[in-house]
Amino acid sequence: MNKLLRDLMSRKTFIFSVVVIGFFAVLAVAAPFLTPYNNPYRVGQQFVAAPYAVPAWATVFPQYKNLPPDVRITLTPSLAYESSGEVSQLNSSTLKVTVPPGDTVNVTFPLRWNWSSPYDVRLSFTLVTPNTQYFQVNLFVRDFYLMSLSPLPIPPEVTVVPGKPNPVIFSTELVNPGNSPYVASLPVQDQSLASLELPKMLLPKPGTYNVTLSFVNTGKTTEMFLVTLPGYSSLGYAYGRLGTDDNGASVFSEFVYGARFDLYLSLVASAIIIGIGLIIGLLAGYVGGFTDLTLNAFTDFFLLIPGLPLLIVLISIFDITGTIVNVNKAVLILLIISLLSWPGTAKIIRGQTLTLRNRTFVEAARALGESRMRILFKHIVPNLMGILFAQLAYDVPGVILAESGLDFLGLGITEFPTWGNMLGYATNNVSFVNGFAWWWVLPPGLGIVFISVAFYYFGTAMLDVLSPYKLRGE
Amino acid sequence: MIEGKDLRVYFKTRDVEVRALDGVSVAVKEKEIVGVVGESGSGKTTLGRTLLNLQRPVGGEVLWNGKNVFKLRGREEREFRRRNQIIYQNPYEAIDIRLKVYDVIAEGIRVHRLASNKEEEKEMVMNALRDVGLNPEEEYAYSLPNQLSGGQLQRVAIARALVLNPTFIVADEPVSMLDMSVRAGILEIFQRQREEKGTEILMITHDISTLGYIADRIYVMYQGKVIEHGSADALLEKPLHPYTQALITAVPIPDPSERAKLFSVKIKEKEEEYNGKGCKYYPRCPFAMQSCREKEPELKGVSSDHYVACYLY
Amino acid sequence: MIFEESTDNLLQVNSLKTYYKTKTGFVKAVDDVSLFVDRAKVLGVAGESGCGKSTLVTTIFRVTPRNAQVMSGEVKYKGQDILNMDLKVFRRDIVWKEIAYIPQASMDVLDPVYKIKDQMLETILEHEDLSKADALERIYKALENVGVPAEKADMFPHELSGGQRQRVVIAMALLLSPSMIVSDEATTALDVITQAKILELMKSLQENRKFSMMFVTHDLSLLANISDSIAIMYAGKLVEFGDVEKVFGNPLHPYTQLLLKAIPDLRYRKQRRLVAIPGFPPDLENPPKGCRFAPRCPLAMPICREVEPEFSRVEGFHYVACHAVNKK
Ligand SMILES: Nc1ncnc2c1ncn2[C@@H]1O[C@H](COP(=O)(O)OP(=O)(O)O)[C@@H](O)[C@H]1O
Ligand SMILES: Nc1ncnc2c1ncn2[C@@H]1O[C@H](COP(=O)(O)OP(=O)(O)O)[C@@H](O)[C@H]1O
Ligand code: SF4
Ligand SMILES: [Mg+2]
Ligand SMILES: [Mg+2]
Repeated sequence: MNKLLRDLMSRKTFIFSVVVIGFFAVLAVAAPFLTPYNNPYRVGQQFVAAPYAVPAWATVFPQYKNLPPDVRITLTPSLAYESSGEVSQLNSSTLKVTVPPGDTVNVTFPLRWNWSSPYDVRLSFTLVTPNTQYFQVNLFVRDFYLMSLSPLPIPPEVTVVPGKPNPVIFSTELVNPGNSPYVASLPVQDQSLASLELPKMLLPKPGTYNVTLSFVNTGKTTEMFLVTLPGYSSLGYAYGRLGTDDNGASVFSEFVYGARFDLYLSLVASAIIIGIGLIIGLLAGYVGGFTDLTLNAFTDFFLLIPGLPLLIVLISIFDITGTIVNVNKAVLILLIISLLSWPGTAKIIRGQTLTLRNRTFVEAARALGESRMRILFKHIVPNLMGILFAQLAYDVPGVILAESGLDFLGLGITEFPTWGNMLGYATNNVSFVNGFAWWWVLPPGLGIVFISVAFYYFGTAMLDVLSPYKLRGE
Repeated sequence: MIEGKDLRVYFKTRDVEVRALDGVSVAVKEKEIVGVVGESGSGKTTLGRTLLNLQRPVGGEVLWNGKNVFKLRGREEREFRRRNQIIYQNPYEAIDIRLKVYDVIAEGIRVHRLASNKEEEKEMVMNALRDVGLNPEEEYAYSLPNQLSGGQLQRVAIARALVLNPTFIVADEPVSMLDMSVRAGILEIFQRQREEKGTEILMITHDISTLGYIADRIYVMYQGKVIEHGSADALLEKPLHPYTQALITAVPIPDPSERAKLFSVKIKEKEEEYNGKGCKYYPRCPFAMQSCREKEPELKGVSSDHYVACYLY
Repeated sequence: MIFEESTDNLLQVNSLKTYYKTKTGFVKAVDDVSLFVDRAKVLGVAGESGCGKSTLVTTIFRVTPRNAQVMSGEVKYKGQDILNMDLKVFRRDIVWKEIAYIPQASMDVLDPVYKIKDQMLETILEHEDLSKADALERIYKALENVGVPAEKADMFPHELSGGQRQRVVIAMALLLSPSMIVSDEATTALDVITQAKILELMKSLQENRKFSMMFVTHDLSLLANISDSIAIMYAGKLVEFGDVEKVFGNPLHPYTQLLLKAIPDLRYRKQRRLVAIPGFPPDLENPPKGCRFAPRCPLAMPICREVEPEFSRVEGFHYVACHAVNKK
């Protein structure tokens, strides 16, 4: 055993395969710990950043240098108010603003912005107004009059309930002429573009920008406002380990869960393929005679079925007719791929069994008085181990490619990410992006290539060390 | 006592039929070492395999203590397998080289349940290793076959057979793959086995000179036929069949003064194909006569322990 | 080493060392071997398998495996150092034309996809400026000389029997009339009768055409029949070298003596028992100190395990490397 291991470890290709497979296996197993998004194709798990955000580390490249990350900060007022009696700190997160009758008090929150424009801009705070009808609170960023809050709404003003805490949210995504004085002031044809254009206008480039809340008291008595420190947040164009896709979903999460699915699929499918292949091949090769003839004909029949086209037809039929509603589509695909792929393995096992059966050491076992069963399990099957691993080497990439192919064409799984449909969506959307979303295309592409090559190397190395008769026997 | 009677084994490969055994009768009596000699392809291996019921003949029978071995079933068949063993020419082929030497030898013990516990099994294996001259036996027991030389591995193969206490062994060219210098040691094991346990041995070889040292009787085969047989003394000292004579002359003698002999082998290059009815040897026989081409000669006794199939006698 | 007995030297090997480099060290497959072959003479080289015979041959013929390394020594053919000769020149001027090589597996020489005729034609035309018709003529004659009917020239190697194939290989080796033939286990895979016939053929060709031959085999008894001188190798060392009569008539090295006793000889089957040499050849990566045969030698003395015996002349053309002999 030790020798076997040493032999294996001396092969660079084997080390490579173990490292690669190990890497993906760890990814697959640790997926829930690596990312909170277990199915980034669900709407709730999208828009974790701007669509087509580049990976965070890519900002080291000059062309991505100024792209903003997701930003979420609490703004603090500028120090100038410390001395004036009108604005005071109630507690660490709340300001008290006292406005004399007929007066206006502006509270300015400077926002330090180090990047180019973000995808959107969101501001949120809670406002407690005096219990009167005579006030208005306006929100400005720079000079843009973004929001107006008042107890008596006349659009574009937004209602607040006097004397109660009111959660206020401003979002460039949600602006319309009905809730934003700025948008209402635009020519009609530009109003609908406002949510796209606003972030660029509010935060055009690195610099310090003022967010201003202006409290207006139109009443006759001095009134008091309470306001929490506003939270600023925006989705950035640089996100996470692998950026985002067209829906702003984390590509890293898709990749990790794709790896999980692809590995799972290929292992289960290979187990089925090798299981069926081994049983049929062994029976045909070892029992021989009529059994062999029948099984061989059966195998040939399956072998002659054109695999991929049939796969596509079958899946489309099941899909369109909805015949099998209760069966998970992934399971269906797995079963169909397995059932179409075992004949090659069966043929090879049969051939190998035939030659093994005629080898001298098998006859020697017979001469020793060993029963047929004992010969089968003590001498034939162990000597097939190498070939079995070699089959694993060819089957796993085969299964991965077949499944990815289906997904790529949009015929396979669509409900959750697999490497195949990552590739498919990524290439479908190429035209939308400025250039090509390499962080979206490369991981699944390389993943498929690496895992296929790794399994191939793994299998051939095992074949080498486990089948002494084929390669080393004299 | 094992006896093959009129054995016929035909192999069909594509359209040609090879008569590997064409009416061969042999007998190995109590405590005998019987030699079978002939060129490659003459059917020696097939004969050994047929005697041990590893190859079904199309005709003839093999009697083991009077019982037809092809009809043995159940307990009797297992007993037959245990008591009759075979050693092959190439030990690397004949042993499942994934297994440790210990397991190779223990295999037979396990199959026939000869040991009641692990200690007993181990003792049997170690004794067998010692018997075939592999010591320190502990060291050999736990090595893998491909760590051993051909000679050592052949001893392992022999130990695997001897551990079952066989009464009959087919030794199919057990030394032809091995160096001259280790052959004697292997042959000695067989001789000792015969002397101590009375084991009957069928020693197959293509080199008649080794048989001179160990065989009691010798069968000479040519293309699926026994063409001469008799006691080793009679056959080696007075070979009758032209083919046997050629076989003996062709043995190189380690003595420069006897050079002329090796170069006086009387045999023709095959000039015509065998016509299907005459003596199988006539195309190469320098003494062939007209009658030789017409009908196959039968084995005839020239003395009580010497038989030859040749029209010259 | 200078051999006074070499009167008409054709090939001379001087203190040749060929080692194989492995992961763990060097396999000393040929270790300080000196010998010679005279014109029109046959040198037989014998020894157990693994003692370095093939390594010696492949070194001379410059076809060693890649991990082989000539550590020191020289091989002189007609006075020319052929080990240091430019390989292209060696292939053009020496191979086939001067020295021809018959390896063990004759199938390796014959390419299964070409007809016999075409393979022989290529050999001739590569080295000589000859018309195709003349070359074919020569091929037919060469085949007939080795007892293969000329019409077999149109066949593929697998259509011939083993003996015939070996004859074809011999015919090929002789096509360009080399002065020397090196054969490595040329008859090992053959049946006894075929072997005798091939030996007879080689010997008669050698005597008629007066080429030299280096005949390598593990079967010492063959050498008694065809060689003029004998070299016995053991574990990479030359242990005995001398005239064939002397080596067989009066074997000096205990190894040679034991080897001879291991050969079955029908003349003495009643008087003698076959003897096996006890033990196994040593690991050539870590050969024993002193005489490499000492662990298996019945005559070994304390000095044998310490000091390597010198390879020296006993009397006439008879050299041996053994303390027991040198002491006398
Ligand atoms: N399993 C087989 N299938 C077909 N032909 C065989 C088989 N075994 C042996 N033969 C043929 O039978 C003949 C005798 O073979 P074999 O008994 O092995 O001879 P030997 O042992 O004397 O060399 C040969 O011509 C060989 O090719
Ligand atoms: N390519 C090689 N690498 C390492 N060792 C080798 C190689 N070829 C041969 N040897 C070793 O060198 C020794 C001599 O081998 P060889 O010359 O083939 O012996 P012989 O022809 O006498 O049987 C043996 O111990 C063999 O194991
Ligand atoms: S019977 Fe005739 S052909 Fe056959 S061996 Fe005797 S003499 Fe030769
Ligand atoms: Mg055979
Ligand atoms: Mg060799």
